[in-house]
Amino acid sequence: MTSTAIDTDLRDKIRDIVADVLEVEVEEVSWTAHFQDDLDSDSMRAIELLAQLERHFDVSIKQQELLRMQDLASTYEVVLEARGGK
Amino acid sequence: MNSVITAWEAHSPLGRTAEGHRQAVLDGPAAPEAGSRLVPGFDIKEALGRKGIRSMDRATALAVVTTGRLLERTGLGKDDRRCADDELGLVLGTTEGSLQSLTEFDHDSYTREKPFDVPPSLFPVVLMNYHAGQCAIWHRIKGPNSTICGSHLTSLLALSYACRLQSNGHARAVLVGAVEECSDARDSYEQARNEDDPQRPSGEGCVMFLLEPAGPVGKDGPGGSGGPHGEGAAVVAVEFGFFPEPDLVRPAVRDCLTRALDRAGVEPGKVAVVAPSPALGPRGEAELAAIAEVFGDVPLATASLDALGDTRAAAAGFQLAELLSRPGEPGRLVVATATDAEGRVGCALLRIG
Repeated sequence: MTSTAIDTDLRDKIRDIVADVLEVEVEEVSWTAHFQDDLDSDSMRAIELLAQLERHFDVSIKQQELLRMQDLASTYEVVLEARGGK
Repeated sequence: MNSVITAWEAHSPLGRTAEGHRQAVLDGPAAPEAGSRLVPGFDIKEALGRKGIRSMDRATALAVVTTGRLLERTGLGKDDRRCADDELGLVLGTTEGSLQSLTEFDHDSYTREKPFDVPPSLFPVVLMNYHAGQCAIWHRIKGPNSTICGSHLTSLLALSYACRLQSNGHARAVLVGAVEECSDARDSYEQARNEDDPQRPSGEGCVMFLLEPAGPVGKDGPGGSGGPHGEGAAVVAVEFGFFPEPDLVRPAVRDCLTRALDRAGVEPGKVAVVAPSPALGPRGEAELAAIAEVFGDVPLATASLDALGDTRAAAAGFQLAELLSRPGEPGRLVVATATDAEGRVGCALLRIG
């Protein structure tokens, strides 16, 4: 990732969605907490997360991006790219 | 038939436990407020915790809670189970799964940009066997897992199915019952479907029975007959019938009752009480007329009908619960009857004790 500053509003919104889908407290979703290993996610929750992100940000995310979306940091990148860097 | 109900559990507008429900039946339930008969204060998160409930519908939560309580109370809880997980079966009646979840899922399919733009997590929920599946997952029930749908006959169809499952050796103990939820979608559906027919307000709740083989249960076996409230009852007969025309409800119910009595070798005069279905209007009247034709001036068990409303899939289950709330002397014979708008009729004959 480049040294571009993190969009904290975007990050916090993604974090809220992750916490909702994974049924964990927002505080548990740290920047690098692994969805599957640390937060008990599974394939069903992963596809739901993708769908919720698409809905909320009105973007289209390819399913192969699921492989990348393993923590908040990588998910943030995926959403950012889907929004065309906006 | 060779099956015995050894315990039951309920979560209903009358009570959060079988004991609460039973006490309300005995005391005469308080007059309900107008509108749907909801299970008061039922909160899924409060009942089941925060994990695994995000997309869960109300009916499933009611079923998971009720099933769990029945298992715990009968020594079959997953942490301290007195039989193998695969000896325990589950037969759960529902309407068609959760109408509310189904409606929301379909709504998104029609209103969002792409037809497949639906919430993936709702997909399992809209399947009709989600409720039974969740009960099995939450409580580690590994025997047969079946979902039965048959409108107001559901609970009796489920009971019949569970008895067969047991007598054919597919499960040693079977949890059998039904669940129903109140929702905007269901109200709209019922109004559209029954525009001209009088009907009770919709009601919700879950009622579950533990079914065990008749005869002495080994010390290592599940449950144990009797149960904490002495709610044991043998399933003597479950019988069904059909009316091809609306004006043939009465003979259909009469013949169904007669077949059940003949099959069990029971004289009509020996039946102590009958619990009729919540049906109103001509169909309900015909059902009562058939009961009177077969049993004469038999007492009717109707204490919970108004407070429960129309619990549809769970209705006949709640009628059985009312009969078991006032079991009376061992050996007493009791009957529940049901009819539905699609032409089915049915009855169950139980022997207390």
